[in-house]
Amino acid sequence: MDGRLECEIGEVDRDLPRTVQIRGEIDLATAPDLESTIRTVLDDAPRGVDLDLQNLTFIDSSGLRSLVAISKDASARGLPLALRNVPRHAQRVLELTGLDAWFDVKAES
Amino acid sequence: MDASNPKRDSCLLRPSFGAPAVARDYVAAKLRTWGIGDAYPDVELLTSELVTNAIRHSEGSVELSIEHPSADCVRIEVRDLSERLPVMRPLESAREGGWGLHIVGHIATRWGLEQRTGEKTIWCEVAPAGYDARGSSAQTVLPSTSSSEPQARDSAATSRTPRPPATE
Repeated sequence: MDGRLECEIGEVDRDLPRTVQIRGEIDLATAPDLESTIRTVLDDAPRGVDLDLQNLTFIDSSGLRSLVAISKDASARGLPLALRNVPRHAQRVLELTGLDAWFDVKAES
Repeated sequence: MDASNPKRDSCLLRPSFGAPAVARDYVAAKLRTWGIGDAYPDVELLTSELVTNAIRHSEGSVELSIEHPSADCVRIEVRDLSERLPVMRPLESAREGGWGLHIVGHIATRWGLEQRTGEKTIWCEVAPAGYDARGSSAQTVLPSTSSSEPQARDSAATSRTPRPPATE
């Protein structure tokens, strides 16, 4: 994975969504890695996945595009996928593109 | 030109997926050098969008320029070797992407496009954080549909108003 993005993948829990903590930047270079990582996580996530964006330092339209692709993939498998702890800069681009209404955004916990 | 204006600089980016990140680092370093590192938090995002667009839709190197022409403005220009103009799709149908120019259109105070034989330049200008240039959407000089015919353009001739001013 590109050094600008790290994913810390939580344990499988039969009762709770599996959490993936995303650190760093999602852009043209790192988006494909993120997508393949999350797809693998979804293979073993009976309650779906929470993407924890607290340590996301940058996201642009390439990153949004990959979040949408991941979300569609989860949806196609019948699994919920939520965005958690969305930082202000990410919330802003979600709102500017109207995607904030499309994603399941969980408030900071 | 660069020597006569110390607040303008440019670099050539190799065509790779890593180019947007290199470009962000470049503009962030320039802003720091010019002593305005914290004043323009949107420059990295805007640069990333323009460079990503160029890398995805053209071949060859991409030239990135950044300029601080006045106290309340930073201008970014990205030149690539494709005449093809970007298509700005309506947001509702942009479920697979195409958000980049919408983001630029919302954040930039002005932006536009210049097309010449064998190349095009997309540029945008942004005000410092907290500067109240918003309330209305950016003034845009980009055609909203793509054109296959290269034309000599100037900003006034291509001026259009693609969306009504936001009301807040």
